[in-house]
Amino acid sequence: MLIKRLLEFAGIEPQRFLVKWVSSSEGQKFADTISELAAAIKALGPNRKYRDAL
Amino acid sequence: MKTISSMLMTQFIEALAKEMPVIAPVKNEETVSFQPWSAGMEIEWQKNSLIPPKNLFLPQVEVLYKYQVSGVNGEIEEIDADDSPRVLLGIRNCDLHSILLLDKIFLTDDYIDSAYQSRRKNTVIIVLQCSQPLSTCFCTSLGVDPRGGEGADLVLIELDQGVRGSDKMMYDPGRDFGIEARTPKGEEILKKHEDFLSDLQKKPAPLENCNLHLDERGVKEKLPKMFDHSIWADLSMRCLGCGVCTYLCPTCYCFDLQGKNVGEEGFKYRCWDSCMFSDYTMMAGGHNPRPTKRERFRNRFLHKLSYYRERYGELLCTGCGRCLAKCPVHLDITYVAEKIKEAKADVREG
Amino acid sequence: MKISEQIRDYAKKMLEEGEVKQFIGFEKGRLPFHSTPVFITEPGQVERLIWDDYCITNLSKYLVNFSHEDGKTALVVKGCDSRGIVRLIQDHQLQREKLVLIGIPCQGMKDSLRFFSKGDDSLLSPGGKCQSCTHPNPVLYDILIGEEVKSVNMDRFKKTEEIENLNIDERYLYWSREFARCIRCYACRNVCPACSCLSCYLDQHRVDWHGKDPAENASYLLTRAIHVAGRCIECGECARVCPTGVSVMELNKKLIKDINELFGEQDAGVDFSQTHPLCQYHTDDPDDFQ
Repeated sequence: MLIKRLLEFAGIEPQRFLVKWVSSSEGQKFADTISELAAAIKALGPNRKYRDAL
Repeated sequence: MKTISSMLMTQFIEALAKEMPVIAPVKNEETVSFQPWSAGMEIEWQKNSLIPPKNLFLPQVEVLYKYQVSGVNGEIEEIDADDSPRVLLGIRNCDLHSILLLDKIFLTDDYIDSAYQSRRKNTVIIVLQCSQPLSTCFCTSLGVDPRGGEGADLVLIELDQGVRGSDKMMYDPGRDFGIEARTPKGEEILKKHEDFLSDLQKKPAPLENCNLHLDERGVKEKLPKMFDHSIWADLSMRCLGCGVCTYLCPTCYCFDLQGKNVGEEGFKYRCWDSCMFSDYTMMAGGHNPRPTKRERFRNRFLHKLSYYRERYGELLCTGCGRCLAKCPVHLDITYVAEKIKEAKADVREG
Repeated sequence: MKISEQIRDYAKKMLEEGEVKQFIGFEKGRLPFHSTPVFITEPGQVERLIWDDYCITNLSKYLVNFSHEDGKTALVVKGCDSRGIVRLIQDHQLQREKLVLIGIPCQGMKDSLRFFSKGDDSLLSPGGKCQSCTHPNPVLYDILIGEEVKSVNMDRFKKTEEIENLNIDERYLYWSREFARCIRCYACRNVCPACSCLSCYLDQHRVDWHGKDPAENASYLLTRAIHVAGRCIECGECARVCPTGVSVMELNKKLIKDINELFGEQDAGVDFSQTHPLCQYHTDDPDDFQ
């Protein structure tokens, strides 16, 4: 939560960072979580703000 | 001596900038550094830049080559340094002297650094003379003439305005400058832009003395015998081991080679490094010949006060005073030199 | 008796009697507005010790260098130094019984490092970091010199809130200008009493780890802030020592403000009974991330 807020504070899209509790028995949930995250990041494009911006 | 009025100065710079990029001291918040100038940008005439101009010849980061890997094959693309002509405007004589010291490193002794050389060759230098030193300035101790211009193509001269104040740095914006050419390149520029110049006769501003001195008499003889002296442990105790002094020093030139990979592509780059950092002398096998602050601190000051002189006959310092002003714990080279002089001979580490 | 004289008396006595091996305080530097840390081991050297308006450096980080040596160290502590020491003891970097602390309530110090930026030392007022000090009095000491002072009650999160209220693009613009000035000298890291790792992740040398190039400034400064989250004692040394005036402390303040909001109000390095907010778990902790 702190990292997400800090990224937001620095003007970096907080959607790039995700922490989620997924148990080892929840394969589908894990796959869905990663797919969603990957789709969100793809939509945002490459992250040049955190590195390589200058 | 020709003069150029403050009103025409901006137009002169604009005219120069049409021919080639003009690099001048500008502000980001309180930090003054040399940046490409464009119309509307305010040039900082009053005080010297915090970031020394060495990054114009030895950039903080510089890509040397790129590579691409496909299977077992690879391709390498060399990146040439940008050698397009440019004007470096408004550097001070201390920093100009630092560039002459760096020249000895990168352009002599059988080794020519081609990237450095091409940047150096294609830069027209317009130096801005100083007449009022700050309380942290001691360039005159290092043989720098704040009113000189050795190595410059053109010299901007502060004119006597009859206004003095202690520690107020040098130029008020809106003042007129004298201007003189020192090289054919400089003369060519003056000739081309003579419309901006007038023959108004004014005297250069009187030169005020530096209050601070780096007195290194005796240091030279003492230092070679002081490698194991207890002074290094004592002095370095206060040092934080950060890189403020080395990165702000106009004469520190150490660099590192690092690489970056993205997928099957990558590049190798050269970047500033600091002898004050613990990984600076770290060997691949894990051994570090300078394991503590003591050795690293000793190396920095021996380099400044001894090693460089052994090779090139001068001290590796210009008296710009940046380390004096910005070291978080005020461990500056004048203090270190003084302590070396005070030190009793032959106090060895126990 | 002047504070400087009292410090010298204590130092002389402690060193002569062998109670401590060394005494850490301040001495006068090169210029009138330079006061700089000094390490005294001989009773005959105590005259070097001084106390004036420029003793701004937080001395607590130096103690880490001596934590494995025998013998006691004495040092003078302001509020911020003492909080650094509490935090370092909590991090098991220091042992309380090896320290003798001379507490001095602090009215706020002048910052000589701003001199080069401003050009005139008469402009130096108790500045920067001291303006948002919440604990001017030492929180841990053995001997107290002088009277306790009242803390200035100012809103220390004012600028943090101003930045929060910008939109995401404005925030990025603000920080990209700040990050652009970072020269990666690591002074902010080296001075910080919460940065106590003997070997920093930044001193590793591997391709694709963390380069020294300015393109990774944002990554460096944000990671540094997260590494000290919950342990930052708000001494503001990071921002003070930054040669280019990057508002490093605003990142720490943002984290402190968020920790206070999420896990309850707390001040790091004040109270030994308070454990690190990020090193404990309560069933009612917020879990918005789920």
